[in-house]
Amino acid sequence: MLGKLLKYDLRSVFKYWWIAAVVSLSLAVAAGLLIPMGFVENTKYEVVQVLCAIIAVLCIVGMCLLPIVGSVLIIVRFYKHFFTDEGYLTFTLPVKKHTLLNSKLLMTFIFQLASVLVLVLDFVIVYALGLLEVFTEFAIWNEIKHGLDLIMGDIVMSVGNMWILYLVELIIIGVASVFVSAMLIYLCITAASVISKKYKVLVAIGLYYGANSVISFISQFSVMGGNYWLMLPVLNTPEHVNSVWLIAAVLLLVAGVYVAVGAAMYVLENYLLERKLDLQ
Amino acid sequence: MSILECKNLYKAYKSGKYVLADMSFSVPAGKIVGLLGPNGCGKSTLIKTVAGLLMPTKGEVFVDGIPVGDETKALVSYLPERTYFNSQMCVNELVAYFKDFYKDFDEERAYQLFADLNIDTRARLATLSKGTKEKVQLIMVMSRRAKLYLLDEPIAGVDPAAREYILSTIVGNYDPESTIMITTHLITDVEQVLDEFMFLGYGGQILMCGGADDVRAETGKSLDALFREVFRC
Amino acid sequence: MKKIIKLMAVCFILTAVISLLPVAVSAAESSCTVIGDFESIEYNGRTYVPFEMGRGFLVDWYNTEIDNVHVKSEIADLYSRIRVYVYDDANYILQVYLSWGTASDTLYYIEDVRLEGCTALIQTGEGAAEYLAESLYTYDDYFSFKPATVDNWISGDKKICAARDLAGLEYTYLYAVDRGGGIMAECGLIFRDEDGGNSRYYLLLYRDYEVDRFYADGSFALSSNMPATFYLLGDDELSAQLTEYWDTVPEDELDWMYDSELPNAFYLITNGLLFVLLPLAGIVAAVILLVKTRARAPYNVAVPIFMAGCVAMIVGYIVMAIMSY
Repeated sequence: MLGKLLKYDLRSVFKYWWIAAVVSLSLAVAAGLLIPMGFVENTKYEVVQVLCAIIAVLCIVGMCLLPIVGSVLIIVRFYKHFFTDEGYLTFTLPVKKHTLLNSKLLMTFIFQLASVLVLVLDFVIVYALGLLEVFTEFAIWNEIKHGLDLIMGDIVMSVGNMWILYLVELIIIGVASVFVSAMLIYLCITAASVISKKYKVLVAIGLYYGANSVISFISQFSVMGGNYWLMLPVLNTPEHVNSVWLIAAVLLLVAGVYVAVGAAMYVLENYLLERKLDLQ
Repeated sequence: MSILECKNLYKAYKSGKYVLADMSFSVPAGKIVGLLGPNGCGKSTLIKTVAGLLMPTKGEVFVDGIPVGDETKALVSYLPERTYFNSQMCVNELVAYFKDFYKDFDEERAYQLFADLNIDTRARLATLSKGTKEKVQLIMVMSRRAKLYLLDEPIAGVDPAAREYILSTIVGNYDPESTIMITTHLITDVEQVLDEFMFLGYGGQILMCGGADDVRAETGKSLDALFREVFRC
Repeated sequence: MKKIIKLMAVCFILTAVISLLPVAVSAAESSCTVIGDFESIEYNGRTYVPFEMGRGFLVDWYNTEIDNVHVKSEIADLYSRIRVYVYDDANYILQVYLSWGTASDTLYYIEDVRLEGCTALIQTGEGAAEYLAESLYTYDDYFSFKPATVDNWISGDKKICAARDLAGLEYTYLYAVDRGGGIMAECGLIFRDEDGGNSRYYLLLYRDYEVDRFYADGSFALSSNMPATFYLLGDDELSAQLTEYWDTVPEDELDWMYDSELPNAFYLITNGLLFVLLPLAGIVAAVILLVKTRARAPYNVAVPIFMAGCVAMIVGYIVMAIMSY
């Protein structure tokens, strides 16, 4: 049943998402063609050069709207499928409620990944068509390589084989953070539908804003905000900054937070869908 | 054996007021039952509770002996009073959707009924008229071989000719071993198809129930006249 | 509708109050006195003057006279211990730099004694010494440094290997500063090899690398597999000073900038609550929930995952705490 639900969810979102993806790729091509005209001195007229530069920047901004469009489509799909008249059909399907939720979460992952892949493709297009010349002109690539070498140098010298553990932890953090972001939105929408039938959207926005404020506040005083330097005085010395096990412990803590919070939200969401949701 | 059984069912919304209070009844299999009552008496609430859309505040509901939940949704075919399909889907896609999720869905019957009504199955639901959409909904619901059909106001807001068609479709296409529960306040149109009836008062109180023919024979009145008497303002 | 508006109003007010708390806390943290036009800091009868140091970038120190110091009012997140070596026989000053900041424009505070010993910094100089790593800079037209003094430091012993092969050894950076032009650049690394309680220091000079890069800094050296020559430092005085600097955390140096008592206790308590007590309570609640739901889906999957997350939080925090005290 999960496969069938996922099929319809993907189909429903893809109907509009593909348009945004094509637009993003087209903007990448446009940006790639305009950048050499805007940033490299090969045009006769400065005005044209400036215009090209501005349009190229706008194109790049436009490209980056794809994940936002994807997120909006996913959220709208979730809301309509559960909390509008379509909910009568959804919740009378012979499918467990957590299966419905799992389908939505999988759909979120797939489209987030797809958006990232399209963005990567966008930047490859921009680089290949346009930035190649600009990089050579302004030696920006050397700046980027310099920055990467800085990071790699420290990592290689300090970490050794621990990078495998770090990679595992970072992957868990990455996946869990996507899960948590999606669950937070879903939970706010569901809670809003339970709290208020008439003003679901308004209450959902308010809950989301409130939840984010609380998270930001707590993060400021905790490791989640990167403030472990402030927490433990000995951490102020560089010897401890270099400690590979300390970094592994911090990453483990962060991973644990995301996993625990995500699982708690999932349990709460299921509880609300099963016990508290009254579709009227 | 009863297809539907309610035991001490209570349902209150957030205001705290009980829409259904201490309802206990059972519905036998193979009957067409009319759930009749004034607006706001709890007909739709009862139907939605049986369909699994609402959680009872207290009490139990069983469909074919199974507590209402994910399992009973495979046995129950529910028609809400509003359009509940994704209007961006076309009729074909809807049929495929139902076929995917409901094992008891009869695709052939559905297409036959669409053909009888000259409904273009390639058309998107958004492009159909209100009446046609309701017919599509009804056909989809009645094309399932469910044990219990719950039809919430199937003929409200529909013209008289369409009402007749809908009722004939209901009667003509259901399995005699299945049960249909129809809620409506348009009793005159519906009473000729009903085997049994239930008059529901405010708070979900069952004011009168029984066989439709029996009560007509006893009282010499139609269900409509009886309704007016019982619910006189 | 009124209820919704009331609820939202309460949320907004709460959020505003909550947002102000960190501001109050950080205001309480600041304990430095900023005085004078150029914002020097006084502590224990000494005046500390800030200057800006960028890694691998040109820094114009010519204008860094006292009343023209480019200052910022923030305090650096991490302090830096810098030992400045001034040699009369060279036009440059070597700095051994034992800490680094998190930002490229982190401020470092050093004693104004430097100003006495390093008045050469603000004097105009003639010509420039030969730069140690001239092959690595496109700016080698600007300056070059005599390697003379550095060659005085090194003994005959050396090893030739890639910087990566010294992974695990502590290291720090070596900067050269041109007195005259005020140009500073990173020119090498110092590795510390502790062998049976005795420390030996190896000097890696970027002049020994031939790499086609714009900037010479530790990054390419540290990550590179190219062999380089590591000279054993033979200068006993320098070695002793490096050992002293590396091993001691002097109280009268710059950690006074951190008022570590209140904030650290506060953060410790807050984080202890968040990452130990709360997850413990969560685990207890999860066990009760598992019993109540009798392990049905999806609780039988989600709840154990929640418990695993809580355990990870507790373990991570305890390991952090143990390693840091």
